[in-house]
Amino acid sequence: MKKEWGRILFAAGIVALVSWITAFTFQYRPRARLVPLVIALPTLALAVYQMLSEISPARAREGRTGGTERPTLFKVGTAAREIISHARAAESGGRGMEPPRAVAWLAALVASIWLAGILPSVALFLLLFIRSEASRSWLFALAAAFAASIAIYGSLALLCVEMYQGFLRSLMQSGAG
Amino acid sequence: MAHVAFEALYGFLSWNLALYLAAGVMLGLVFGILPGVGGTVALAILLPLTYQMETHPALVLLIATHSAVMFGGAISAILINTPGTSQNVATCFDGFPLARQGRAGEALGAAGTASALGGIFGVVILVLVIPVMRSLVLAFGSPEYFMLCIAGLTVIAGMSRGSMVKGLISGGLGVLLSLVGWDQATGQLRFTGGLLYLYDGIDFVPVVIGLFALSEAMQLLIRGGAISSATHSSGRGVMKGIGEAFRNISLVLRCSAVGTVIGMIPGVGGTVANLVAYAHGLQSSRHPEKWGNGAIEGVIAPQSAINAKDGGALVPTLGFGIPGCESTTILLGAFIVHGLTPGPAMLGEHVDVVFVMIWTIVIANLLATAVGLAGARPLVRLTHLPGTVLAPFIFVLCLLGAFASRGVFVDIVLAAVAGLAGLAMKRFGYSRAALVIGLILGKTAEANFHTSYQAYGWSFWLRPISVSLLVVTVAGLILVLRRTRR
Repeated sequence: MKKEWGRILFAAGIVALVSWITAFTFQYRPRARLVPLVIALPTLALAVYQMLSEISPARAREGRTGGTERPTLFKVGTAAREIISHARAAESGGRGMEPPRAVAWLAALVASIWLAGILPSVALFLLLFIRSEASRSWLFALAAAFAASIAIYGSLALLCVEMYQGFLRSLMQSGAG
Repeated sequence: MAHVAFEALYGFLSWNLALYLAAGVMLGLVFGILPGVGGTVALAILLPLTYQMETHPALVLLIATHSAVMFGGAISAILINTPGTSQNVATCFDGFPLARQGRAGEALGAAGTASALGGIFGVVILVLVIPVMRSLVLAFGSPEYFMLCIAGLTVIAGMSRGSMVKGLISGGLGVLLSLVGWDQATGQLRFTGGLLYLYDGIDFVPVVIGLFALSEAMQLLIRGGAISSATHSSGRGVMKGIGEAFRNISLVLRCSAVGTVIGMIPGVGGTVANLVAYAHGLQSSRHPEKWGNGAIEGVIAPQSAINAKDGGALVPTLGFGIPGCESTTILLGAFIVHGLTPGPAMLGEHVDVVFVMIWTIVIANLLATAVGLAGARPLVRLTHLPGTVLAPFIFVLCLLGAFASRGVFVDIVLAAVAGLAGLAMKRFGYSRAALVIGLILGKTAEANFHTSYQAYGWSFWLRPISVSLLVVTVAGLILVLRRTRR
């Protein structure tokens, strides 16, 4: 059976995280480390077992199905719905996006909020995303971005939450000061 | 007493109380739908507006808002997998899968009805319990809190059907993440890596938003198409959902009882009530294998509990001036602002105020359900929008929801990281729900374990309520494991 490196890397990442937590736990006072150790040690053991299962193809198959899972009418129904959903998405032209592309959009939004603040980033993100990925007209994209910006400004003002202004604005303010 | 109750009800025929009630319900639904806001923030925003108001209208506005928030939160939990309030976490577990199956209307109908029934149940219990309030509240101490947390954590086993090992890893990881920050028992800083942001622990609101909503929005983009795979308008199932809630009336009553009792325990809160009720529903279900995949009972159980909790939370608030949850802390502030002193005096001198609050909860719950369900059909259309149109708005809503909860930029980054982790967890079969349950209950369980051990030694397990809770939890766990393996 073909190994799936994504699964192995993810399982290894969990092992690394829990190992880091377990190692740190020993530095704390006995009372502070009691509960973390009680949880961390079995979790680490399970994570290592899972990682080895992912590496060994025979075990991986078992791990993926839980070893006891059998096909049920419900699961067949779910699978059928998934297939119909994919077919309908393809028919309606709503084809899926490559995962790195979806992640890149999210990362770009977060980075742009950090750089330019909430309001301009959200407006720009919606405008570009709806225009390029949803293939809607510029007018639709502009209207959506404008309406969303107004709603966000109103909501944050109502909630008395100070709008995050972004790194550039704070840089300019400190420069001016 | 009865004539005071009827006089209080009669007061709602006056235009100003009715107006404030309607305004409160509308505001509550809006605050509930917005991710990361919730009832406490809503009350905190509205409290200053009530300073100049008379006592009855002020309390009606605040309580109506608070009562409607829970159903508002369920709407976004069901439609876009984003819990509107932290107390709607468990509603996502089955609500969103139902929306994906084109049964969003049914889920909304069931959630609304369960919320209203739960809210009314909580109030009835409040009225019945007023005479024996004191002994009931004092019966629960830290050992009982601890056992309640353990009961909530057992949901992890029930939700780990794909692979028990992966479910337990997710749950363990959730508990470990909940321990980040100051240790309440020893004052030691743990697992912060020197980051100031982590000193107060990991806020679960951005994590929940990221794990469920952001990851689902990315999945929607990757998969293509719309949230719902059904062709028909799923808003039509509202009446069916209402019927489902009545068909599962025993579940509604049991989970409402769970919510009311947890509401009475000061400091535990609706998130625990929501998860414990979900655990109870799962353990007592004849088809636990359907839970997490779109079981209508999985929506009914948590929604009845969180609304019933409001009535329960008023017991210690009115009886002793001890807030039952975060929101009632703000309500307590409102009492003081309006010259009311909670305690036995309030139940004697200001019993009219108590009945105004009771009727407000009843009417606001019914009104919120009616308004929410009337708007269900247009809302359900959201699930038929193409992912490329809906997903960017979910991205924005999620990141802003994460930011609005504390006004900290790093929460946005945390939500994004949780979103990526959620995407990977979903893809590789790790339970996101188990991680969230661990994250929510871990720290509370640890704090109550230390307090119990200090106060009673290892015999804290042997207190009557603790033993009963332990027996019920273990029996439920065995039952659910046997049923899922069958």
